Formats: sequence, C-alpha cells, structure tokens
Amino acid sequence: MVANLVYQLGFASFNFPFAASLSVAGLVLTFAVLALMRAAAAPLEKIGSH
Amino acid sequence: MTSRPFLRAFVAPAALCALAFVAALAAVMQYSLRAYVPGSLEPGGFTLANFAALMKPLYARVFLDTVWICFLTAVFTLVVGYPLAYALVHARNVALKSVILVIAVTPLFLGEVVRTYSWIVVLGNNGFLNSMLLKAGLIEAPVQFMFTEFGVVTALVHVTLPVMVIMLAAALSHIDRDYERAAASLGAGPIRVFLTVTLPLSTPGIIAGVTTAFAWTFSAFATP
Repeated sequence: MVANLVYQLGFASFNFPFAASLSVAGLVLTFAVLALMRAAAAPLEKIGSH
Repeated sequence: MTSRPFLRAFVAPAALCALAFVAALAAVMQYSLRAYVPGSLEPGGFTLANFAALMKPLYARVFLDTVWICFLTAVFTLVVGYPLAYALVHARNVALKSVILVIAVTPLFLGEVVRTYSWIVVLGNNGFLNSMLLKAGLIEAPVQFMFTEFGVVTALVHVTLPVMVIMLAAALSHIDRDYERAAASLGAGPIRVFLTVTLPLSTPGIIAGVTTAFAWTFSAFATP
C-alpha cells in the first residue's frame, strides 16, 4: 500500500521530499480514479434520480 | 434580501478549518518539490527529481497494487454491505434492526490498533481461522493469511463496511415503496422487483458508497 511506503520513506529513511511526492501522486491518482468512476457511473446515477 | 445573521458565525470556523487543510496540503506540495539531502532533515533546493523517480517500475507497481486492493475492497464492501443495508431498511423487527445496526456500525467505534490486533488474532498463523481449519482437517499446516492480499482486503472491508451500510441504507430508505408495490402488483416476483426497481433506484447510494470506500482505503495504513 502507498501509505506504508510513505511511512517507510518519511519516518525510516527521513526522505521527506520523496514521501511528500508519493503523497501528492497518491492524492492526484485518487482524484483521477474517482473522476473516472463518477464519469462511468453518470448514466446509472440518472436512473436512480427519481 | 433576507439577513442571515448566523451565516458568518457558522462559515468562519469552517473557513478556518479549510485554511488549515489547504496550508497542510501546500506544505506537502512544497516538500514534494524539494531535493533530498542524505543525512539531513532539511530539504534541499527545488527540483522535479522526486516526481521523475515515481516513474520507476517499483513505485508504479506499488500504486497499481494499491488501486487493485482499493477496487477489490470497494467491490467486496458493496457485496457484504448491500444485504445488511437492505435488511436494516426493510426489517420490521426493531430488535433485528438494532442487531444489524450494531454489527454494521461497531467497526467505526473500534480504534485502529484494536481493530488491527483483532484481525491478527483471527488471521495469524496460530490464529482462530488457522486453528479451525487445522482442527477440521482441511489443512495440514497453517496457511499464511497475514500480509497477503486476502488479509489486507478482509481487514479493509471491515473498516469500510459501516460507511457503505450507512450510505446504502440512506439511499434505500428514500426509495418510495409504492414503486416496488406497483411492480409486484403487475406480477413481478420479489427477485425481479429487486433487480428492476430497488437496485436501479439505489444506484446513487451504491456510487457514493463505492467511491467513498475506494478513497478511504487508498490511504489505509495499519492493516495486516
């Protein structure tokens, strides 16, 4: 998991910059996947809105 | 124009919290653009080397594994959570409703360490599951459940189940029962009513639950 890698890099290796870049990449990836999921589910959501 | 005297009083704390979150995110962003100086806690000058290093296969693999585990967790949480939410909304017996609610919501009130430790007790090599399988004669030696995809997904499903059940129950409770009664009166059986009326009408809850479960598990840390 990304969070475990962030912890190892930040608090075991003290490589805060790389841990921060992993966190930022994780955040961006989460938003991207959520946006894709929402776009894919948009037609289904219309069925549910009554 | 109507005056809203309490609006500022309510917005101000929320704005302060938002400001604190934005400041924390900005600090992380700033750190991500700094160079690592070995042996020093102070970061170096600005660089894009950290983001270039993310392209290495090792880190790409970690991201892919995380996305896959999050996907599995979201799907299994939905599979486990939907029947619970459905029973919670449709059960007429108050005692049964309370039992379902307690089962579904209890993980929210457990601390992360307690929850993780309890899964270690269940999934460990000398844990409950291995002991039962050994006693039943289904396995000859303990099976590794901990630190495997199965162990991680199982524990993550346990963590995200309350949120999924609450969101699905909210969506299911807003479905007008007249639609289901109308379908039944036109000759549809219970399964057909569920598949053609209840399930499609609960899609907003499913989407909200799945997206929340996915986003929540992406940053999960203390899991076996």
